Amino acid sequence: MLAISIRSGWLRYAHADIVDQAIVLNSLKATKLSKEFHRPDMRSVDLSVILGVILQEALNACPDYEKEVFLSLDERWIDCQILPVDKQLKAEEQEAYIKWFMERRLGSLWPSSSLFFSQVESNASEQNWVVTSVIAKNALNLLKSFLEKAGKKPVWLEPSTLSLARVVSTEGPGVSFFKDHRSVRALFFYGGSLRAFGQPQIRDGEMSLGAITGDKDLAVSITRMVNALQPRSKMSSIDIRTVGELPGKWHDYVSLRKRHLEKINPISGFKKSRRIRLKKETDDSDFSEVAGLLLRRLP
Amino acid sequence: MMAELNLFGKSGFQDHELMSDLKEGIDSTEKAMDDLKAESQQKKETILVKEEAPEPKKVLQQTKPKKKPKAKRKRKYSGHEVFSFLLSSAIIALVLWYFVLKKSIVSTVSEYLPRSFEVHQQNSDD
Repeated sequence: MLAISIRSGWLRYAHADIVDQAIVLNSLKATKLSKEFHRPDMRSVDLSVILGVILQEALNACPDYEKEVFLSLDERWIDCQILPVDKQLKAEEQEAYIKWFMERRLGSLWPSSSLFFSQVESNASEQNWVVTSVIAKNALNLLKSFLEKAGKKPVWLEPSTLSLARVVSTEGPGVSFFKDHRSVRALFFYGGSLRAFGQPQIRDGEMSLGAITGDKDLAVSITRMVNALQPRSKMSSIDIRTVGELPGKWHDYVSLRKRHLEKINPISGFKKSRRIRLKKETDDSDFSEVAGLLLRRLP
Repeated sequence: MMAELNLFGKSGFQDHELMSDLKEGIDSTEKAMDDLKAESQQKKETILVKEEAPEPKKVLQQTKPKKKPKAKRKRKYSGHEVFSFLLSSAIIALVLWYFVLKKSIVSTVSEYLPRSFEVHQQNSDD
């Protein structure tokens, strides 16, 4: 399989084989995209040209026999939200409500957008949580047709947040912090499901929630618990995970709580071919989305 | 259980049951590819049949030849076109005449020298 991720102006990809239900990495590469490709116009007719320039490198690095392509794209390409829906509504009513909500949110962009949604595992609360993703129809069609023309099978496409979630999902309540260039992404879990995510900030040595989508109450509770942790506190009941060296003020924040957290290397669990030679400065955590896509392939 | 979304799949609600088994997804992609291949094969066949189709027509024409109704002859050029052609050729001819022929006439005119003028005058006086 070929797993490709585009996030924060970087193209990262891996070619892997599944051998005895284990993933063997044949190649693992990262390329910084030039600035004109950071925020492409999703509804432009020229998008196919941009896609060609971006993806050709990954396709060239993949042997001809490999057909399956898995893709993970960031919020510049796919909008991803977690929305609450009244639990008492029937499935059709929930669907109608989400469509109605998204139509108002997207306004004039609604007719040219494709909407996908999936229900998050339900709990005892009165609300159901639904993961929704929106992508421009033009971008989706061009992606499919570009891969098919290149002789590949477009198997899987998802927002980068869901790829990240697969790498760190926990059964109990928990939060995972991912390095994202100069900022940090936080993913909040409960009962093995992603319930909320966003980009928190550090103010006066404490974490505060900025823009966040999903179960805010859960995110606030977890944030309070993490803030309350001290170096000599008893072991926490929540799972705290970090992926990559967190930047700036986050470094100190995490260092104070290092006794309570677990560092995750997203690609440490995979077997690597001898051909893979990563540069010394390469951060394994940058391949989190790629690792998430590879995990998707496992039964 | 993690929420899964495949944007290469169907839009709208995506069920857990469908999403949980990736193999099904791959199978459906394969099926779609097979369908596409079958469809393109079918199209090719229909095109071939269409190409072969004239033969029975020819047979029919041989058994019962039909006279085609004579189509009305259409004039190649309209009057307006003929008139504009004639006018333009006349203008071209005039221009040619002005620059070529008229110039040659002027060039044949000779000038009398003053002496020859005096001789001419004397002859006329006589």
